Amino acid sequence: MNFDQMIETWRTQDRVPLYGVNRDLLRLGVPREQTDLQRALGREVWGVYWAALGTSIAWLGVVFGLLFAGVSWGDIVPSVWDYVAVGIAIVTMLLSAGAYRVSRKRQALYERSFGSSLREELQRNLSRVDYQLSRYGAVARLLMYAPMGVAGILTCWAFGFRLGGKPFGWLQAAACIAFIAPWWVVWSLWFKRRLLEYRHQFSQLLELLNPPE
Amino acid sequence: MAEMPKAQRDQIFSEWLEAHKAILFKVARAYGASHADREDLFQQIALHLWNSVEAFRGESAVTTWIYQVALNTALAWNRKERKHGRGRQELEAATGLLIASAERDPRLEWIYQRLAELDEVNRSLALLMLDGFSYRDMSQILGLSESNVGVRINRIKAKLSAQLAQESNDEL
Repeated sequence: MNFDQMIETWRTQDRVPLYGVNRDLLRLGVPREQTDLQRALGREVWGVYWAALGTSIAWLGVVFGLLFAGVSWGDIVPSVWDYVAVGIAIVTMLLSAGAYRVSRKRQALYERSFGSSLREELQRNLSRVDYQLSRYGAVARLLMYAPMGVAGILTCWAFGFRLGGKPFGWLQAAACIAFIAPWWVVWSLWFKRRLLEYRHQFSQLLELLNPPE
Repeated sequence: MAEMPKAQRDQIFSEWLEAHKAILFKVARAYGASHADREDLFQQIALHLWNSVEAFRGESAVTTWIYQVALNTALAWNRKERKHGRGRQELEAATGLLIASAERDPRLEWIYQRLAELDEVNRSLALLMLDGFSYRDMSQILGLSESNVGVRINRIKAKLSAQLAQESNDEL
């Protein structure tokens, strides 16, 4: 073979490619497939932050509304306990959001330990999904949401009690739970189902990447 | 500037891949030591190419752009793999992404073996030379001066010619 023949040999690859490509596997490796998961998780993260901020603002609104109503239509003078109840509610909410942020940062550090091959990319995604799923466990939910829930119910109860007396306070607390709980349960179940679908998909792909026996 | 719609990006990527997949194969074959390595590298190049679609402004030919992305990815991949000491075994992690052609041209195998003996940068230059790129294009793709490219290409040609001559003598 001389130099010209070598060049000619080299260029045969343009006519007869060295390989065929398994397009399904390639498609799964290209980030298009991962973008949806990233977006879903991103929405979840911002959902928690906005919920913390929004609920804090809403509680403040309720406080001012009730104070205004009390002052305008009754002889209610706000006590220090009213402020304490609201303060606890807001601080607890913000602390929960902060704890979530710290926990996510730790998870992000862990995710960085994976490399950039297709296999490691899938393992990273799987770890991300598992992390999110772990937040839907009973203990995690109790730690994350119970303080907020209790604080919220206390706020409703305190103002209901001050406005309308004991029975009205309990009714208002129950109304709070009845209004918030179904939304939260429906959303949680929907998001958990999506996470489980992603988990199944990534696990299948990892299986596919294992060498044949 | 507005972000390119995903469907448009997907379409351009598919067209590029269909028309120029041989470039990706050549680079993956030249830099990956095992089949599993080549699959991994091919995957990485495809990822970077998909991400690069939006950055392509048409100031160079598509082939030049694809070679640039492919070689940059291959050089970075090579360094990273070496740094982490990850040598993949031939059968260890093959994924089935690339399906090797049943017929292998021994002359092509010989060329790839010679390419593997070159250092990373010269290997890139040799690939571009074999595909008929000009010194200017090579300097643009690799960020080398044209004179540097010229010197290196002459050395590569001389080395390959000597090896070809040696090969011919051995055959005789």
